[in-house]
Amino acid sequence: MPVSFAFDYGEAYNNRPYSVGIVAIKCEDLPDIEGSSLRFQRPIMFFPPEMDSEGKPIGACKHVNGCLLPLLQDLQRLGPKVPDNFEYDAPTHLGSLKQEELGTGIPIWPNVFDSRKRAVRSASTFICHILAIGWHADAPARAKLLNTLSHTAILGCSYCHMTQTEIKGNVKKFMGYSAPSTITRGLLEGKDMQMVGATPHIKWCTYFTCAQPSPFVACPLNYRDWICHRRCAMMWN
Amino acid sequence: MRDDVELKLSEQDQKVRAQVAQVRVAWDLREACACACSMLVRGCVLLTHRKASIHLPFLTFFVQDSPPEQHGFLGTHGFSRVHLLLWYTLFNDLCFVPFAHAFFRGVFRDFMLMVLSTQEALKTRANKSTDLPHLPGYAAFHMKPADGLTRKQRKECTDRMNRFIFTSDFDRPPECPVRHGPSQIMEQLMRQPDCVMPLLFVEVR
Repeated sequence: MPVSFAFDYGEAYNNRPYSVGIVAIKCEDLPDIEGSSLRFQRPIMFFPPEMDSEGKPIGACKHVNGCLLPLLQDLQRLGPKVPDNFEYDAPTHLGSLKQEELGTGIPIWPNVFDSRKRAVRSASTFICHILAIGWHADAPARAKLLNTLSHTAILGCSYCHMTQTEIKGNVKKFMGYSAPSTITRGLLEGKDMQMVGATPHIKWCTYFTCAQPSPFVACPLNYRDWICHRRCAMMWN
Repeated sequence: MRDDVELKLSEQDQKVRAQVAQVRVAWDLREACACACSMLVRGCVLLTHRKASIHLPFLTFFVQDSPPEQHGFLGTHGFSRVHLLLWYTLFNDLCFVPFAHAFFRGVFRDFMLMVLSTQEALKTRANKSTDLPHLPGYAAFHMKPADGLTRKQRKECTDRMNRFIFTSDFDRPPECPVRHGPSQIMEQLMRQPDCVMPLLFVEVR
């Protein structure tokens, strides 16, 4: 059964605005008119705001990973089984379930009861698997879900594990990197890439070169689009 | 006939390929020059042992570089737990923004604010380089500074909006787009184009 989730920050009980994280579930296995009604969209989790020592809410919930863990474990248990030809090791050090517990599913007895709670009709039992097809989230919530930089970050990229530079005044920005760093996700996964800026106006003149085998060998033009289209759009302006 | 068609296609292909090659050579040259400049800058930074101050006529930065395994400022705060624990998810398709959020609170709200802004505001927007992609001299959505509203027109809009009475069908009635433009929520913004805007801009004789 495909379901989708929604995650956003809201205000509860006149607390600080956008401090409480709310997760809602929606059934995606229904026609649009049915599935978009409130009956099939239920809030399932509330994340508490950050508190100071006096118990006053001081900001939005930042420990989203820990709060989401019970839900993710349930989704692992109820989700589809890992195929034999698919290489996946359950990351138990991150709180994942064991490999053999994945994809258990839940058995369902589709019985119909009458007013006296007696089963009048029964069908054969089947095992239901729940598939999380995606998350509705706006920019701040998405940054928390994906562990990326906030939407207010200057040239923040959600794909690269590239490094920032510390500028005077405890401000960190992407300013160009002298050392190549390995990209750990996305289309350039496993490649050592380097971000070099000829001037400090890196915002306007950022371009990427491949550090191996020689720093002077330029990457194909396509790499620019693969890494981050936002930076390219800014560059070409 | 078939041979002729193939010949024509191949000629076109050759032309396109020649153009692409020209562009590519020019680009490679430009990139090589820029790369040489950056190597010079990088050399300076390395020579001064990780800490350097780059002085330029208009900007001064104190840059501190360190190898990636020592510093903690990454582009991401680690891997996504959702992506790691659920084996069937793809990182690129994990999150999606609903249409109502992206359109009404994104595109439509920007367009509404741009239509309702004054001529002075449009002038500054046209000169802003960080704005949406636009032609020089124009603001976003191809708005000329002369297209902006005057103060009298904006006051007329607010006066009309104050006279509107919304029935209880509107759970949260839309507010004045001139006074409360950016602070409205999706539910209110959805009502703006069909219920508010036609009456707000209608000509009265």
